[in-house]
Amino acid sequence: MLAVYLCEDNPEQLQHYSDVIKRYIMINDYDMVVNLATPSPQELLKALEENPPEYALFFLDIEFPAEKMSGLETAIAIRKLLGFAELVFVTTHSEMALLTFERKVEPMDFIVKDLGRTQIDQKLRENVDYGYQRYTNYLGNTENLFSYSIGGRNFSLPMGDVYFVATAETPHKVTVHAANQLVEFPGFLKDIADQYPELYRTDKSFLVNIDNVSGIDSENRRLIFPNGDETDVATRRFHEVKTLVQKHLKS
Amino acid sequence: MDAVLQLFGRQFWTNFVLAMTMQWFLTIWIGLIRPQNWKLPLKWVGWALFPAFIGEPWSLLIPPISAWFYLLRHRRHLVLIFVNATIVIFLVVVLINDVTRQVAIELWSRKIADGAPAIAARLFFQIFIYSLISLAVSGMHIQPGNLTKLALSRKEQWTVMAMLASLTVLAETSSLIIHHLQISHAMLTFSLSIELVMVLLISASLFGFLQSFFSRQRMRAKYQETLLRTRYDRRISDQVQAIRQFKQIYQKQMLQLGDYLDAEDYEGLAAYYETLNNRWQATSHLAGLEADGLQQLGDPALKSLLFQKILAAQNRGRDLHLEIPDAIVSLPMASMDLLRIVGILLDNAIEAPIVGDRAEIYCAILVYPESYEIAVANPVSMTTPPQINRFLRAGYTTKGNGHGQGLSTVRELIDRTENAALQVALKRGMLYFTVILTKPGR
Repeated sequence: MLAVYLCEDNPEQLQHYSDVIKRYIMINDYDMVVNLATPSPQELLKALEENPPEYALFFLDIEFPAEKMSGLETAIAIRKLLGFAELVFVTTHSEMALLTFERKVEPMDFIVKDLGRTQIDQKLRENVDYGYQRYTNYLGNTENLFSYSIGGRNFSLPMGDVYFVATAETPHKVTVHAANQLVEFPGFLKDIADQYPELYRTDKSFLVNIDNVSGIDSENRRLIFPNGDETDVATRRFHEVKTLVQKHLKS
Repeated sequence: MDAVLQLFGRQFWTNFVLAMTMQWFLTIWIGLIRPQNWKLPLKWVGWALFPAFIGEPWSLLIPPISAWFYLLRHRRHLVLIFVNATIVIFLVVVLINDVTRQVAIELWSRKIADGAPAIAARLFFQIFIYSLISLAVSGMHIQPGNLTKLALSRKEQWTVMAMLASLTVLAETSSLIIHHLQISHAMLTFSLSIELVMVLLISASLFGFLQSFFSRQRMRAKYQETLLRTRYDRRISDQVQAIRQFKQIYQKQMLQLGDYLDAEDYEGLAAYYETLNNRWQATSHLAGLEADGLQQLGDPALKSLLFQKILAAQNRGRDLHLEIPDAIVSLPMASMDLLRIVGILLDNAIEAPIVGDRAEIYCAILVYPESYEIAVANPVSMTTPPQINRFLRAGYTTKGNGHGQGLSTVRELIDRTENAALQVALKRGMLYFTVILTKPGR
């Protein structure tokens, strides 16, 4: 069961969002329920503390002029309280500190109120869909994660997105090449290899996610990825890697 | 020692030891041969056996030639500089070998000088010299990869090679003379001293060569720094200019308002006030700058840069949102590097083509318990997203020629800053660059 929580200080809007979401859940027969729709972030947090849901989806406003707490503080508190929580901010354009929110609480989406009712409703439904999809993925444990930490903070991305990990030009730094992402951080390839045995060490400086290889260049002994990146393969491993990749490409 | 020597012959051991040291040196010099782990010396032994078993002096050419072919295949642009470097090393080795042998002959006798212990001692001495050079090479970071950065032109490289080649011929002839011709003692001393002079000359010229290299590099760094400084100065004067303009406009408007009041033309006043209202909205960005979080920032240079970029963004019809929610005294990174990174990232965002009606650019500096974070985001086309894997290679750009060098510089700067990490991501039609700087001592 995925629990939905709404927090919005305008009672009319709150009612409207709640209606849209409830109706949409019913139509799609999702295993979801709207647990709480409240104008007060304090009340929301109290409810979460008293009766923490295992999986939750939040629609939060950002500014609560009447309250002491802001939407950001609420979101950070929620992140601390719950293991699985997807956050969607519903807010007016001007009050949005997009980057701060993006970096501090990694919301699933922002819904901008200025867009007009129909657009908002559409976005609400999309996010219900998307939240539910993430929830089912999470339950089915299909979403394997690749995690790393920088300066005491943990980051993760779906393992299915990872193309390969390579040593950077300077020692003690590695780069992660993934679909739509590129990360460089201090670390050692060996530690990553130990942590993720599913990544294949094709060469001294490359750890490859064989599932994402899109082609093979036998002449130069290189693997090709969907974004055009290439990695070297050590001579003595090439045969083995080639069989693996061909098996994977066929399937 | 003699027994061991007899087992395979003198040339075997000489070749073996020399090939080993050569490979060691080549590995350090080229720096690309992988993997460099504990098995590597074993591999050297394996490869060194080839020239050792061939047992001819020319077989010592095998290691450098194979290294040369390796470069030809994998790093073509390093081939020429590698040849030059090898010739230098070869010269030093041959000359040192000759000189030490000759010195031994002079000091003791030919018999002792050609005996096994003397050869062994000579080899050890050579290894010692090799190690010294190798240490210097790795210590001074003058591997070919770095040498190419020092911008030696192709012409310069060929000239150096021609000079070195002629030196080699000279050295070879003199070594032939010393080893194979029966020459008088005086002649010997003479050629020996010539060799000594050559060794000294080569070392001195090498030293001078590198010295000029490094001073060239230092000059370039200094030039860039002054360039940045002057840009920074210009920025400040631009700001002063903007504020002065603002003041003038303000005074003019006040006077105009007074005129309407004097004439008691209230309708005109109301109409004029309307136009003012619109104009005030245009300048509200200027007024709102302080509220945008700039006052939270302690670093004056960074503050000025951000201020300037906000103005630059406005000039291009873009809206730069600055988010600095917490006070920041300073960021743990060399000031010039930090300014370059932030400048490049913001320029890149400001100059990116506007997508639809989304003209906003976001920039945030955030504080975490163990780190700081600088994030820049701008909207990008969802249908033809930029290829982020190409971003950080030199020369990629979506803005036409002449741009795009910047992002690879960002990567270079991050690369060489120990406590820095970089995340580039495409998400919901936005491109995010995030630089994470871990606080020192964590």
